Amino acid sequence: MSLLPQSNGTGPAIELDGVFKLFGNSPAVDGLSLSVEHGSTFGLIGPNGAGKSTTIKMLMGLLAPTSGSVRVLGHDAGTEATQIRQKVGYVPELHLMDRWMRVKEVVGFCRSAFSTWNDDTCREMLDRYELPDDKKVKQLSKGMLVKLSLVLAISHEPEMLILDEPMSGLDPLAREEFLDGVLQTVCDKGQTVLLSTHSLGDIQRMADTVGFLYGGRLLAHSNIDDLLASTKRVRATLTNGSPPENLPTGVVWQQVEGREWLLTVADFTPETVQKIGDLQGVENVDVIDIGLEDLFKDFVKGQRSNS
Amino acid sequence: MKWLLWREYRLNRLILIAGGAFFVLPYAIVGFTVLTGSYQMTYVTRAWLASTYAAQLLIALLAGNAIAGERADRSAEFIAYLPLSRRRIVASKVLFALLVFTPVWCVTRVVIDNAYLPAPGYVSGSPAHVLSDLRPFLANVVLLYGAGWLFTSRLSSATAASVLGLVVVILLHVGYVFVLIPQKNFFEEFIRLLNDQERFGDAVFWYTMICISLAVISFSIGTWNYVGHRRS
Amino acid sequence: MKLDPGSHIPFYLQIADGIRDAVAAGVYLPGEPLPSLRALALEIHTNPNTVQKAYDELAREGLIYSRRGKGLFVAEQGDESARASAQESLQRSFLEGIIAARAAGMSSREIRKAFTAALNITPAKRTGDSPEKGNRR
Repeated sequence: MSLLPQSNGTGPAIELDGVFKLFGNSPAVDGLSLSVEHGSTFGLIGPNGAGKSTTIKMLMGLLAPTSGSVRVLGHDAGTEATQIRQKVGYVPELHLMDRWMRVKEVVGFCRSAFSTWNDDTCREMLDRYELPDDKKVKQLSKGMLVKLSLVLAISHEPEMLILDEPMSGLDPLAREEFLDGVLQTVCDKGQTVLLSTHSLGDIQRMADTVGFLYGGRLLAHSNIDDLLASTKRVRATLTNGSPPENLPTGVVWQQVEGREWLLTVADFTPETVQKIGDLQGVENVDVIDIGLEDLFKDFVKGQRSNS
Repeated sequence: MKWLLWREYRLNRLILIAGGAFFVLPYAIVGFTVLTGSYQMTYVTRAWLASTYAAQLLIALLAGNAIAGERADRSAEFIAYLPLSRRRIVASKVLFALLVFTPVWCVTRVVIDNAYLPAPGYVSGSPAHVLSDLRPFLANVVLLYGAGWLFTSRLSSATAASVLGLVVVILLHVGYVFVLIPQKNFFEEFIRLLNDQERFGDAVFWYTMICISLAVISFSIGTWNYVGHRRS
Repeated sequence: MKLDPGSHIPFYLQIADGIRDAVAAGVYLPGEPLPSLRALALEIHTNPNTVQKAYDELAREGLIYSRRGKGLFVAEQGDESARASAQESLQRSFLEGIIAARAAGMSSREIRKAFTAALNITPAKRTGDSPEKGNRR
């Protein structure tokens, strides 16, 4: 009883290939390549300024990459942006609607822009979220605004949802309601989802695959379960208090405190323990499992100490 | 398109109300003088002249606000993420301006044809007749919109864009008149021009051509800026 | 079941554990259907693909099986195998605890005392005998 991904034979749902985006001389996106399969939920995570918003703007065709190719649902984001926007349900971080419009006017306006609008879905969702037709956007609370954005995104039956940090600043109940709304439509329709967020809890709940963006580059991109299984923290004792020179590959981050040496290793295999134990001045190698949050923190710390 | 036009109306409502008020005001004053019995023929002239200036200001404001206005309050982003091509958006704004200008033109035309031209003392070939040529008015309006459009596509201030559009037209208008009429004995030369129907007709014709050409060029550049440019 | 995003255990295994516990505790009896993908996904607020993975894992273990067009059901020996898994897991916890206690220098007698004390604190279930993990729903 599995959900069938909507593969239409034209390649991955999202495909970025060697994408660079420079603002002046600084790269917001620095050689990004990634692909997202139909029907999967991709979590894009990274600190502020990592390039998440820029990437999403390129996916929606609002920004042109400086170089590289961006393809969404088989369309090139440069030349076929309008087709992409027809098929993608986009939920922004801050609502974009004109503040003076009433809910029914926003709905009417958006309805006229999309060729595949479903009035029943829209009505049903507006009722479910108790969004009043006559209230102006500026009178709605944050939680209601994000729900309205979701209604607008889903009512035109998109093949893909792109959620750009939509839950920032929401109270826990509103977040849950929003995510449940997304889950419901994914359960029913099986859309591909790209979720850009700060929250690792949301990523774990919602995403199959996760991509970690830092400094415009993808540091990690894999299935969450694989990532958890293949990234471990290793604890060892250093006999002379200083770590060895040549570290095995895959060391993301390390820390020395007294004689205790902690390192986080990606692509972990049983041989890794062996290799570390074989290094000069290293004893008592111990392996610890870590959760997603610690994993990402270590990635960031590792990047910061390298740069 | 209906919704886009409605949105244009809501976004420009203040401009329409203010501009509309200033357009109607001179006629209202004339109407008032008719009621109080102090009506004079010259009032009509001043009224429709004043109204045409109000109309030109209105068009300048609409053009200046067209793109820069949205950029200022972030509502441009709302449209940007929807599957609306920028060409369609441009078309809706131009169509909106046309819809606004149509009643303006009709009213002005009706006033001139029914209150101004049939008035006693009017003679074909007289300065009064020459003055009623609405081609300069149209030319100004077209250039105001075209130039304003160019500025609105590049600037983030609607006011600046409108003002610059007005400046362009004023400079052209004044410059043209000064080129046309020699400095010495300016006013005599000006009266002589108004009495020379053929020469005046030519001057107006070329003025109109220049305005329309400049308008087309500015509008094209402005549209290319907006449609072809994917900044943010 | 409560999913812990801080844990290093992948969600799908946490879900599988939760279902296994439920079967062991008799919430789902052998031959009974399990909640549909959609229902469970929405109930625990998680991606249906993850629930699918959990179900696949349990099917692989033999705890559940699928009937064409009718959904997923608890296998006949399901409750027993679930209890066996629970027992294995308990054994592991005991072992970890004892190793830690020994490392801290506790004697066998001290360990046994601690165990008895803990057993007396926690109330026994209706079928008092076998140690059960309790309902983690």
